[in-house]
Amino acid sequence: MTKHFIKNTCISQRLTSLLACLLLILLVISEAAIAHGERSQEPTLRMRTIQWYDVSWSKDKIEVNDTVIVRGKFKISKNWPNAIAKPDVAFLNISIPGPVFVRTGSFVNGVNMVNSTRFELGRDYEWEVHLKARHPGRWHVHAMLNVEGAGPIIGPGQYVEVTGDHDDFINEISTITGEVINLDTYGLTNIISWHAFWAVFGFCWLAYWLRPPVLFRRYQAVKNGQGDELICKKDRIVAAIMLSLSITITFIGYQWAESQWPETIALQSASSPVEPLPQPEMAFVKTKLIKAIYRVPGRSMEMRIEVTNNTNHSIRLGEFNSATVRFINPNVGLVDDIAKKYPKHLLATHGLTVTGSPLIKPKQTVTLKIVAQDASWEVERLASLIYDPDSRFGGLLFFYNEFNTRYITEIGGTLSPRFI
Amino acid sequence: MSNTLPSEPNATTAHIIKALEWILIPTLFFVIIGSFHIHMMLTAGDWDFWLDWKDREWWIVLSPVVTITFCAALHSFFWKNFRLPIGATFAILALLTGEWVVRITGFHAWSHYPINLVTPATFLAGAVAIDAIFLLTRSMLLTAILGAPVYALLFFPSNWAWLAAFHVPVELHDQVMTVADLIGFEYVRTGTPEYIRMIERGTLRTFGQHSVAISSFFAAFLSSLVYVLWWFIGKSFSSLKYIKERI
Repeated sequence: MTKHFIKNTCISQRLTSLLACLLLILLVISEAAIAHGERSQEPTLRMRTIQWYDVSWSKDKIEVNDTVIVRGKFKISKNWPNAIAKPDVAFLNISIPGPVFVRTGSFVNGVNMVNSTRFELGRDYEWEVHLKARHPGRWHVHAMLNVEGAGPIIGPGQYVEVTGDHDDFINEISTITGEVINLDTYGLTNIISWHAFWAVFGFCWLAYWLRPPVLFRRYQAVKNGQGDELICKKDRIVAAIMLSLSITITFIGYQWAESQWPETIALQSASSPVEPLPQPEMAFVKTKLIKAIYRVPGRSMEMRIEVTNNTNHSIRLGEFNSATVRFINPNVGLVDDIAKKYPKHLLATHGLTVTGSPLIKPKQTVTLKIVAQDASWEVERLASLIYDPDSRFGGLLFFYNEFNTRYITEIGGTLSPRFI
Repeated sequence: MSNTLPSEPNATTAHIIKALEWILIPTLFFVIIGSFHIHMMLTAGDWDFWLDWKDREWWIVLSPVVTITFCAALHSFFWKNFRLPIGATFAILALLTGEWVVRITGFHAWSHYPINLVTPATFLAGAVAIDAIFLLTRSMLLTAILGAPVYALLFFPSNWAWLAAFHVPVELHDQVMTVADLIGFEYVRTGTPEYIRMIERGTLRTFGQHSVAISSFFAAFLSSLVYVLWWFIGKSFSSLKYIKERI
């Protein structure tokens, strides 16, 4: 018996040690989850709904109380999947790990975006979000659009480092009634006072009844048919007093609040209409997809497209942009400063090869063969598009003339996989 | 409280009983914290989590109706077994204890939300009132008819004492809103876009701008019905019949 007990004890001690070691190893090797799971969203959702472009962050290192502006544009894809709710009700949001920044303003085409709005398919919108740093740390800041029925659709993300001390954070505003308040702490004393008062009030009522021993003896009395004798006149008087007090104090509290804040309004909720950016009557550059395939072993997408140049200058294809990944034609390169500051993991600087007639002359229609090849197809989990129920892709093509004037067209269609 | 009890136990038994009750009562309190808190999160949910969801319609209707449930069930349990009129206060104190712990640790300390954005509603004025009415009437039916409406009607005014300050108007980029709306907008919630807030959507405001009164009386009516239903749920489940075979 003793031998058996000692053996069992030894085994359990070893198991405990092993588990402790495993836990320690896990703690050492595990990293904090600091991104937003954007790669877990299915490719159809990312490639064919919101086409984010020109997204930039005004700063990547700021102090508490400083502001970073995230701005950019998006095209609401005309190839929006049938399976996903259309953006008839949508809200321009920002994806950050909790309120480590406060959003002091957000705008779409200059319209205040405190409320939700409706976006038109196939149209472009320019947006910006102002974020004031509140907590120090290194935070991943994503553009994001919430669409009712579809959920969040995340744009590109960039790290912003916030230095300083949270205790220095101030978020003061003026009310219409002229009071200057700090939103971080506003009303706290009043909240704590009233909640504490009612908690004490309720506790007094409980304390009156619940002083052990109480349960066993009362239970015994009730089961013996003497339950009604447990309630005496004093109990009824106390109950009447507590009832009167709860009603009276509620009334006094209400009247006090009305006198303290006589000017109050109801919560506000509305839809703010936004006009899309103007679009030219005639498309400067027209594109038509002939065939698209995805080569699984090569992690590349090949497209044959027909391009018509209606501009007065020769143009070249500089970029294919889809699901926030930018495949750049190295012969054209990164044209603007925004592209140069774009998150590196989303930038395939040599990811686009164009064959056929790379230089498209004015009024000319040509067929191009485009290859978008990069590890991003795997890393950003876009390759799994071929396993989606709707194997269609979408994206933007950026053409440039010799003056670096940009022409954007949308492309999309079925995508056939090649497994060997 | 009367001391008319069947028999006084001897000193040792009394000591054991007292010790057991010091374990039992807090244990029951923790059980109610857990169960009532989950119930509240699944039913009132965002209306109770966020300052800018506490509107004049849905919040006022939903909150008393979904909280009177446990109050009624515990009324039944405490009264039928112990003649104690404390069910509502016990339930609400447990709920608020759980809520405040989560709001301070989870929402504020962990996720950085300011306390004012995540303050839960208080129900204690109504809870004590319904307990008192229950004792004075000693009737489930009369408590459902009189006490449940009082519980619901006291809900908004007892909360307005701390909430009114957040309905002061402000302007952000030329748009008028309440301080509550502004706090909700500024302190980013990625999973709670503006459009899912249900702010006075419905027909309860038909009578001019008296949404609060209409909603409160509607909540009072519903609370009466829910009180009766949950009294019987409480009665059914506060029974040893389910574990009879194992004792």
